[in-house]
Amino acid sequence: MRTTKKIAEINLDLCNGCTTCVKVCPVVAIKMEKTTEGKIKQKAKIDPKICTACTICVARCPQEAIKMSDRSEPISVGVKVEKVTPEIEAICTAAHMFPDQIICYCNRVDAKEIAQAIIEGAKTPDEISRRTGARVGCGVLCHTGIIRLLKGAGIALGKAPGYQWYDIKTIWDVPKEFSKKYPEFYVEEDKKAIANIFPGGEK
Amino acid sequence: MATLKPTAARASVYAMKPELLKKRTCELPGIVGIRVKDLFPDLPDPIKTDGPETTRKIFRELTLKELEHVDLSKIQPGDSVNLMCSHHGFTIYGGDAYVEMMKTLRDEIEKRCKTSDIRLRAGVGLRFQETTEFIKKFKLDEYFNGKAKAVCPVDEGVPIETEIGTVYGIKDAYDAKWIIHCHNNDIRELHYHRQINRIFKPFAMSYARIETRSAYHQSMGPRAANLLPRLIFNSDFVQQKFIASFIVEVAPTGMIGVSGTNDIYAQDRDLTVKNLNWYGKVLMLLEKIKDTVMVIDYPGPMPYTTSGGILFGNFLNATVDEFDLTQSFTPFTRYTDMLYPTPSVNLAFGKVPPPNPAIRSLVVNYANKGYPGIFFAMQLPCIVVKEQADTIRTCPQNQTFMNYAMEAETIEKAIGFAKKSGRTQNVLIFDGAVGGFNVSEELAELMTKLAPEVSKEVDEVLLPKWLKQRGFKK
Repeated sequence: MRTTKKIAEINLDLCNGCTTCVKVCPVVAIKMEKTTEGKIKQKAKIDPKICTACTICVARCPQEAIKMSDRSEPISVGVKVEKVTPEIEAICTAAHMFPDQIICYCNRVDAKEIAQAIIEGAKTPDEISRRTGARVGCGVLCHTGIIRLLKGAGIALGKAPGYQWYDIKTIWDVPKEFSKKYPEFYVEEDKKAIANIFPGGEK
Repeated sequence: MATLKPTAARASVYAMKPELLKKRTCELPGIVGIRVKDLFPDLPDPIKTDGPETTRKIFRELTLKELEHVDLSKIQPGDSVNLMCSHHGFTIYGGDAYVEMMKTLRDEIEKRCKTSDIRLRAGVGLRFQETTEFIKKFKLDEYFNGKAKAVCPVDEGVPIETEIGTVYGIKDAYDAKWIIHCHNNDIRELHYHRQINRIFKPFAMSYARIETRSAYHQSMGPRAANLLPRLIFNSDFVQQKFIASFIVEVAPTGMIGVSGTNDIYAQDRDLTVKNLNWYGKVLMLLEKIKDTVMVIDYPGPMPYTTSGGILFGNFLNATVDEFDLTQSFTPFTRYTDMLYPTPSVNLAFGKVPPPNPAIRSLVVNYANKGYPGIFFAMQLPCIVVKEQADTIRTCPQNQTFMNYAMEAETIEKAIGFAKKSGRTQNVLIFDGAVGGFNVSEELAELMTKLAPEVSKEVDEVLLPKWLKQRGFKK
């Protein structure tokens, strides 16, 4: 479980309704709400049940209208994995992963926990982030790991509500003939090196 | 041997307030400065400067000189031009050289091409507000007439068709008719780029969306990841916009110059040879150190803390020769971080090299937050000075870091304990010293003793191998 003691807080006097925060929030915790005060027709509102205090909205708000505050009560997220089931194993193998390997380096969320979240119904990257706490630290590094596991479970990546995700390319999308064209990048050699470490690394 | 001046503390949302940094490690008794040029006299002489004003004057002249042979004729009057740059350049020796190079480019493009629509698009690392801080610090928005912008990997994407399919860049980074790539050559994340097309890297990093950056770190392979920037650069999308590449050249001895060209491939080849020559000896010397206390004391994220042009991240990986391309996994990248779910479990034990065992303990006196660093606390005995520990605890990327580290009241107590528990008198400090390292007297003596044999080994054995692996003859 990962515990969050902070929450993003919007200064409505500064919010200009640009929707940037809505589009970049990895857990889709921000929505626009109609307002009757002033010229701005809608302003951002944070769902306190969902916000995991990643600070991405704070960093990207062009109005500097968002800051972090202390929560009155901390919230925790996480998916319990009793044991590595054949279903978890299958998703991880299809994604070229160990169940125990780390996917999110900030919150140390592993592949089996994300696979379990998918089994329990998560169908998009933001749902996985909400349930597990993955990609709510740096917001960057574990993105393809999450998407690989979704794809490994046979879930097609739909369109993101904002800029939360686009499609990915991985080493397994690089055709073999590339090794001959670009030998200096050791593509086939790296596929083998990964296969040597990860069960199911190379099909 | 007087100590070398460390990089001053910097006010940032990612760091403790400068006044809370009570003492720098180099102020402790028994610490001395050791210059790279004294260890390896054949390395290049750095540019001599007595301060930011002189640096700016020198780098304006150097940039203008390079511009003499760069073709800007594609840029027509009124055309839009983006100078694309990265956060790290602003930290190299105070950032004045990098900033002046870009200011000079702006002025000269305006003069020669008769357009004033020249923008700055500055990429970020994992600290999304950092580049905005640099734009403010150097007053770049004023200089670029309100057209300087920090671009983030979570911003709106732009599809780029490559030979392996669609990957995504940051829309605003490419929102001009023409682009000019502004970068730096220092060795930095050798554990990722491995000196394979190092100059191209920002095309898959600072200018790229999270899908591309994550793929580079997690889903493309430890060496093969470098295919991504090359493919993006080769795409029609980038080729139709690309004008030139300008690089601030630095070596372990200090600032060296500016490289500007329309031919980025030739530039990359030139800088690859230079980097193998310039950085190889210092890295191999550090590889020979068998026990030391490692100290981080620099206004940057932990693995990027630097001295003598070398990073803590480079020393952490010194278990292996990272220039050797036959080596697939290196001790620390995200490809190995993922294999250590707990401090005591290694999923690929015996198959990946361990973090440098010479690091008997890691002492953190001062560093920026905003980089996932739990791996360091899990895998190295780690002692953090109180004010820095308080800073780390507020970092969303390191929420459990201090669960694995000890806290010390002062830097003196931290170093004392680290030396005692590590049974070593060697202390190696990464504090931003330019052209050398601040180290304990014992380590200075050892490095001075080892340098000649390292120099010989690199010249006669390693450099020919590294060059050959990259298709060069010495």
